[in-house]
Amino acid sequence: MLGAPRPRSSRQRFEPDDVDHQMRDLVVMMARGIVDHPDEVRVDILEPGEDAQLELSVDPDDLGHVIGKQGRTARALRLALGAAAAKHDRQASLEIAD
Amino acid sequence: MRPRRDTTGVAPGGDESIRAADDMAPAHDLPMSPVMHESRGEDARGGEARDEGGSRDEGGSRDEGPALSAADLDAEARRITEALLAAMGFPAKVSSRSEGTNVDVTAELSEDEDLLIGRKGEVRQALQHLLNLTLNRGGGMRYHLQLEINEFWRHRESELQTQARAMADEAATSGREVVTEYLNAQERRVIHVALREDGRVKTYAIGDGLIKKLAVAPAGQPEVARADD
Repeated sequence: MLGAPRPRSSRQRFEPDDVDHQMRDLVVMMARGIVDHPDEVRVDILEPGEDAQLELSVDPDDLGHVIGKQGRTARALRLALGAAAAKHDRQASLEIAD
Repeated sequence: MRPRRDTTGVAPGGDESIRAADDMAPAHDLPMSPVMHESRGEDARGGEARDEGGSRDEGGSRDEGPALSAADLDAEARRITEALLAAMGFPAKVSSRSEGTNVDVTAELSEDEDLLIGRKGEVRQALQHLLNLTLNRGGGMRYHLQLEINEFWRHRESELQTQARAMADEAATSGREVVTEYLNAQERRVIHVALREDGRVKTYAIGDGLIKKLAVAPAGQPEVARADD
């Protein structure tokens, strides 16, 4: 986000809208389904909008569960999120905090 | 921070067993003791407050919940699928049918099925993986959920069966190995099974990782040694 100044018009929105919240809720819900500590699941909207960035945090013991063998579960979470975002003509990326 | 990726290979050799369902099965990274039979008498699949601390084993292994009846398995599979699709914003009519520990779930939707299926079915596969993890959260891989989206899989299956027969003919006629595109475990299984009884050819997977190619070769021919591509 730092770097060359951009024209004002292309600046990212700061406030998440309904779709951003829906995407966040989706990741929360999917993650809660597969972890041992659902109460520790947290999803932050790092950047809202057309090309959103979400970050998933879980209990350290659950990291393996949300990543999965060969990253398979993390990939599945991203694909599901991507499909949901695509429905709104958006993209959304998901990182897992460790 | 980028998520870590475990890149250790899974395939021990060139050949793979026919039990593709295992490859399909969601697996956890954490070490888990094989089976825990001390049931606490609570429904481990129920959801929220499963965390009572205290009697945890090393490695965070989970209790096996009581076995689900066919009706309960049906209902649970349908419930988690409806919840996932609703959260994704894809309203769908969901039905399910179970047999033993397998449950077939069908989601019918009138629009945006391409998004839900994904390129080469990868989104459908991802959803199936997540649903299996959710369905089995209480214990090992006891139940297997097969997700069908607008009959996608049935179409794909018959397409692969047709392809398998054509490849067998070609391998038998030409005397040379014929190789598929990259297929997931479930897709490869269809071809293995379709050609199991065909004495002219043998089938084996090529490569490592979850997505492999599959070769159909004349039965008498030794496997071609090769580096991964």
